[in-house]
Amino acid sequence: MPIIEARNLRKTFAKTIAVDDVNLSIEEGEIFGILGPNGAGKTTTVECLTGMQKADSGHLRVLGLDPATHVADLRRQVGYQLQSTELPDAMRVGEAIDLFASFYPEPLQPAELLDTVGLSRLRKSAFGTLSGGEKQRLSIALALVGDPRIAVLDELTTGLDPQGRRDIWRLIDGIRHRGVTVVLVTHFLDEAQALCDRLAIVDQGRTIATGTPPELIAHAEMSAPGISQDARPVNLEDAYLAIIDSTVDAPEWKKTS
Amino acid sequence: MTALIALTRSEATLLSRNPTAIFMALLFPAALLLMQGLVIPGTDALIGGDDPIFARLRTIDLFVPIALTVALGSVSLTNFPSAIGGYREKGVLRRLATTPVGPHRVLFAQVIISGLSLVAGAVIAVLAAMVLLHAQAPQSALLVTGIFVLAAIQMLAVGSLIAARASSAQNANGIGMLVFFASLFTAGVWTPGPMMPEPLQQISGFTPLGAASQALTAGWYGQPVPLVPIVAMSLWTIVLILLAVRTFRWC
Ligand SMILES: Nc1ncnc2c1ncn2[C@@H]1O[C@H](COP(=O)(O)OP(=O)(O)O)[C@@H](O)[C@H]1O
Ligand SMILES: [Mg+2]
Repeated sequence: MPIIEARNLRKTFAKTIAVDDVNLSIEEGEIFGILGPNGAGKTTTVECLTGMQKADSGHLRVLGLDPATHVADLRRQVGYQLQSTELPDAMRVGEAIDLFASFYPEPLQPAELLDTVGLSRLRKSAFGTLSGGEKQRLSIALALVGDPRIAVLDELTTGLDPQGRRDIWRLIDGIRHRGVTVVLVTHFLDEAQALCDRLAIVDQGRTIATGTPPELIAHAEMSAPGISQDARPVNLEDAYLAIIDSTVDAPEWKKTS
Repeated sequence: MTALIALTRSEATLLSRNPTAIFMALLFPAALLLMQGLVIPGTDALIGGDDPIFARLRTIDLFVPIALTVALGSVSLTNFPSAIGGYREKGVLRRLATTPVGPHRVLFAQVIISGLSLVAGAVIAVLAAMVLLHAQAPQSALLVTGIFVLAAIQMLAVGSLIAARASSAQNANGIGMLVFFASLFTAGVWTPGPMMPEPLQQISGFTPLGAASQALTAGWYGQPVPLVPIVAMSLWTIVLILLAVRTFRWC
């Protein structure tokens, strides 16, 4: 049984269709990417999955529970790093992690976790003095401190410099062995390719393709058969662009694998 | 419970690192009172007049219960709503909503810390008044304490309504300061108690901090406690809490 399942998820805000028809099936222990351009509906999708928003329609199951009705259970088992959260500037790194640990019944050891994310040295530093990358590492630690079965990480590396992004990638790769299922929301292709076991491409509120990075590349080749040999997609970026383009030209090609 | 304790401790720590908030909570009420007593000329003279109680008091004596309202207002209307406005602005309320404790606990924690800090500010002001201005102790400490507690709940309710809507710390602080200075006027910081023109005094008695001021003054100097301010404060408390709960923006 998949640990997260979404079928025909739909969510609208007044006039905006944020999520039109999203379908996901995420297996336990994988790093699953939700990839798509800005405004595609990625954040709204994970907000529905985590019970932060109520879906208009569709079938959702997270850890076998309906997020709309079992929000309290899910809060304990799902760590969610929001797309944009700050902490009070004066709060210190060590205080933040201890505080969040106190929210959960069986938290991880704060000190060890800080070590894992490379912030032990900064225990006494105020949040306001941290660099962007350090803030994101703390944010990941806060999402993991409750020892969740699922961690949802939204736009982890947006705004970081290349070095900072590589550091975060290494960190995510490192938590793979903990058995936490990671849902990684991103609009960066290189990030999705580097980290994700499988991913879904979301565009204009719809999942337009799902698979491993190699599968998506192969898929894109098939969907663009007329293309000359040297223009064939050889990496995820080419595949992504080909898939997004092909849905514009051929709207019937929308089925998720 | 552990989460609430941890959040309360964290709020206290953050307060201890915020010099502006410490000043507003602990020093401003006493500083204003000492300025009225030691810097403004003539406040040491007897009031005189026909009122049997007030005739024997100095003007500065009237400012002592008013200093309590300054402590009530400065914490409830500035520190408290700015803290919550800041949490909304930074996404802290939303972040807490993703955890098992939820965002309402940080509100409780902030109310606890605000309550403690406004009591501390009031105690400091009263001690300063007794030591440096030779002010009288209240006629009935119990009555004054009771009125103070009601007034504190009421003023935190006013602050909650600001906190419920403010989009940022700055926004909350702007609205809070405006309400604070208007409230200080009705509380009699510029024209204390019996020196206020009669109609103004009556209108002030219906405002939150004006009612607090009149009730505290009456309790402090052994007048019969007027019922109107007590009823006004109780009604404000109920209405404002309901309004704040209904309009609170959790994100
Ligand atoms: N709370 C909201 N109210 C109104 N519109 C929203 C809200 N949240 C998202 N949207 C809109 O829904 C669309 C999808 O947004 P979002 O899920 O944040 O996309 P993404 O995370 O892929 O960038 C956008 O057009 C956005 O403006
Ligand atoms: Mg987003």
